[in-house]
Amino acid sequence: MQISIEPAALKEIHLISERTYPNECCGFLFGTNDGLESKITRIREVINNDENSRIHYTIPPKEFLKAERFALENDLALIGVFHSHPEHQPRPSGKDLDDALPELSYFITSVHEGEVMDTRSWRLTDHRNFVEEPIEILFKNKLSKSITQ
Amino acid sequence: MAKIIIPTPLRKFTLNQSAVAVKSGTVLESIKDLTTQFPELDKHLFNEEDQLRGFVRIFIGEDDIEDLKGGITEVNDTDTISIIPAIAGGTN
Repeated sequence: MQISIEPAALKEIHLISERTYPNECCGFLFGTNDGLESKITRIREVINNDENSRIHYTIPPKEFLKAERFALENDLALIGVFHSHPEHQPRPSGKDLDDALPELSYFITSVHEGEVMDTRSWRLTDHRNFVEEPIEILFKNKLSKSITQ
Repeated sequence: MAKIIIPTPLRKFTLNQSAVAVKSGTVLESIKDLTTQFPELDKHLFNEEDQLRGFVRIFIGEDDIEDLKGGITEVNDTDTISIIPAIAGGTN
């Protein structure tokens, strides 16, 4: 799956990741999906009320229902979930893998000393492993660049 | 037959059906009937110990089964079961 994001949406994720540091943030990614390519145009933060929010995030079922309703009402697709890893690499942990859903993109942003370092996107395979999917940033002149090395 | 509502990310495994008719009985029996009909769903709903994965929350009508009798909660033919993900994760 190709995945791309509008710069404003990525910037919003980064601002939320830095504002919530040293705790983890979380939220949903919305946009369009034609089965081959997902384009993220909007994001929505969910307040992370996990009691161990420095190392965990939890999005309760009612927030998932709200996100599905938001997508329906705005003619958008629910593309995935974002969260931050304060002082850790933007790679899925065992906990991320255990609780992952198929068919969603998982954006992970690493934050070091309050500053965003990197964002990577991961997707669950049919064998329940994560594979990285390169993120393309959408610019209005349609040129894009990958933020994945 | 009871009915199970499928969340969007799992509909790929139910031929894009948003709801599936399943046998009534206990709620776990109903969910196992779902995964018998659609075997690819099983590994996403159950872990290697055949326990429901942490993100899987089951509601009967408006009620979380954890507030009822858990997996042995009885399901009637008129009941609607919802599988709703509680998305979670983190660095540790």
